[in-house]
Amino acid sequence: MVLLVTSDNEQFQTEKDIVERSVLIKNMLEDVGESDQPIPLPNVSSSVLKKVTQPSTGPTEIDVRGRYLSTASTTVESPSRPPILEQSQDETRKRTTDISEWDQKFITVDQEMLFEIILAANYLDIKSLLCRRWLQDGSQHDQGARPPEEIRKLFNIVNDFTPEEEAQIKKENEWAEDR
Amino acid sequence: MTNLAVPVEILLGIFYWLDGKAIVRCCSVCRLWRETVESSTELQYSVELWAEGLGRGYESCLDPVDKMQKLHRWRRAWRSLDWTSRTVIPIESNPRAYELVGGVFAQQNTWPESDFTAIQLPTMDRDAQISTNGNIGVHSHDFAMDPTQDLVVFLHQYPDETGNFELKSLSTLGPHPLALSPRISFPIRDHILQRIFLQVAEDVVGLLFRNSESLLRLVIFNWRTGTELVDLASPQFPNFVSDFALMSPGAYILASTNDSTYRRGLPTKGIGEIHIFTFKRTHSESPHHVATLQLPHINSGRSLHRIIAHSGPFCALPIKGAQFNKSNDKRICVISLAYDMAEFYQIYVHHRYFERYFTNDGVPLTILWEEWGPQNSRMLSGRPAFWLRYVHGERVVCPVDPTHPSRVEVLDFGISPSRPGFDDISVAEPTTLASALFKKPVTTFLPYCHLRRDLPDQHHLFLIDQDRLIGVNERVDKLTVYIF
Repeated sequence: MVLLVTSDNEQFQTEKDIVERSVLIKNMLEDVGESDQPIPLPNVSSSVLKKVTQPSTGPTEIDVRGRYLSTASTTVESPSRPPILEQSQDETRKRTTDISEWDQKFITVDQEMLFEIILAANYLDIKSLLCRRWLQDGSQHDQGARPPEEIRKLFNIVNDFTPEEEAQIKKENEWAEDR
Repeated sequence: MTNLAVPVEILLGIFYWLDGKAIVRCCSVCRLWRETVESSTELQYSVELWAEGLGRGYESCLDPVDKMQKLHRWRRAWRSLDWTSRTVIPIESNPRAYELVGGVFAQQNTWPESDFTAIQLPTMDRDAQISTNGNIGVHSHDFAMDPTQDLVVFLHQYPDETGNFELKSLSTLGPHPLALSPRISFPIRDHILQRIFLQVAEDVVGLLFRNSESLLRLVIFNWRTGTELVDLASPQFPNFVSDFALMSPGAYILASTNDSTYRRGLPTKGIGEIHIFTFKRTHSESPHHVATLQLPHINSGRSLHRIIAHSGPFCALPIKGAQFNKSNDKRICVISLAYDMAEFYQIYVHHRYFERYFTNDGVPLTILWEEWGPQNSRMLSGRPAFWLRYVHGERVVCPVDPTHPSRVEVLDFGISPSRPGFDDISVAEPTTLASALFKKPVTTFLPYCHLRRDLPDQHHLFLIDQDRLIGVNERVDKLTVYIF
């Protein structure tokens, strides 16, 4: 178990293999070695940390795939990005029924919280496992890419293209939908 | 409404993890996102990789511009079949079994000893080298491997009523370090293993075989834990199954020669079907039959004798030293059909078409040929290949045409014909097969391009992988490797 201390001085006991998905924490743990010292996270509040570690405790594909990756990579050096993101697409798809309900709940946070989560994930260096979910939704079989309208709604982004531009972009990007 | 003010550097960081389709979709969200994507060579590289059906590999600290150039060079070389270099490698003649996975050619010879040799095939920067050569100590019927997991699985039968998977390290031929037990045994209740189909996908090993009474049996294990995931025997199968292909660590297909309406005594045998199943990779549970795809109707009196489904290999991790790697979900499946042992056809289907059924939780769907075939497959006439590994990713190398013995022909299904600027190669027109065999003419539309090139040598047959075309001579004692 690892002890984390958030910016508002709350303490969290968390499984080591869960927090090690954060590259930042993993590096910190490696630096301090075996120690009971709490790890300070001055840029993360307790409410955000709860959200950030939540996916790891939920019934998600990340658990299985993350753990799988960590055993698989004992014999190979670490690639430039976890190969598991490239593999097991079918696994993501197969498990979508398990995660979609949880996913929906996770996603219904207010905009401010969403922003904070993104910043925290960036700081903790776990964007690969967290933020990917915002843009690539596991509940669709077509590689899980979210349609632009959904992304706009989720991130509260104004569509600043003119209708002509939008039509042009749609035409330019059509090929990717068939691929 | 206010925009969520995510700083551009964080956006870039997030986009880096997305695949090409998601990145392209992000371009149509708003101006800022579009500019962010368009101004980043790294993200453009992600899109180009994805368009070629590739994923990132073990990248060195190459500049994104250099990476892009290497990718363009690779793509141009394959599109024109213009290889960079050519090497001849001697091999032990007439192997009992061979494999070509992850840049490694391996062969097993049973006489006089159970010798096993693995050859690291040459790349643009490196010569071929024998990476493993030794005696495996067992009388192995067949083997499967995944060099990216340093895994080779030998199948042998000892004692008589037990089948065994020996889980070995490909580099040392010692027990595999990640397997809880170096051997998985299963009762076969018979003395004969025949018509073996052995495959590996990540932590799953699957085997279809027949016993002496031609009864079928399918066993699937998690090779790391030794857990049995699937064990089926006739009559738990669809009728007349003749092939098995492991699609992923959670799904397989069975190809059968008859349709579900077949009744004994009727003159016409079936039309052929592809059955798609999913299974759990962690524990034993009855596989879920998600869909059955029917093949074209044939006239009465004609029959489908044999059906074989073959796809490129499944690698769990990127190949060591490779800048990019074929994604496992961007593969083409070749379904070879022999009607009356006189007419031969191949149907080509993208794996992603099968994958859309993986999420079906309900009763199996039956899809008529007319509903799926024309738009999602391409059916061509042609003799089947007699060695496997003629498919890699979305490319297929055709058997040698006796009238053009020095020509190589490649069918490439990994193309994006509707992409602006995609005009460097010609895409095949729809194909219509009007044989008297079929009830009505069969027209298929799946886009592909047909590449041909004359070679300096004649070859007996061809193999293919991500970076190579491999010609094998008639005596099967040398490989001619064309590197792309």
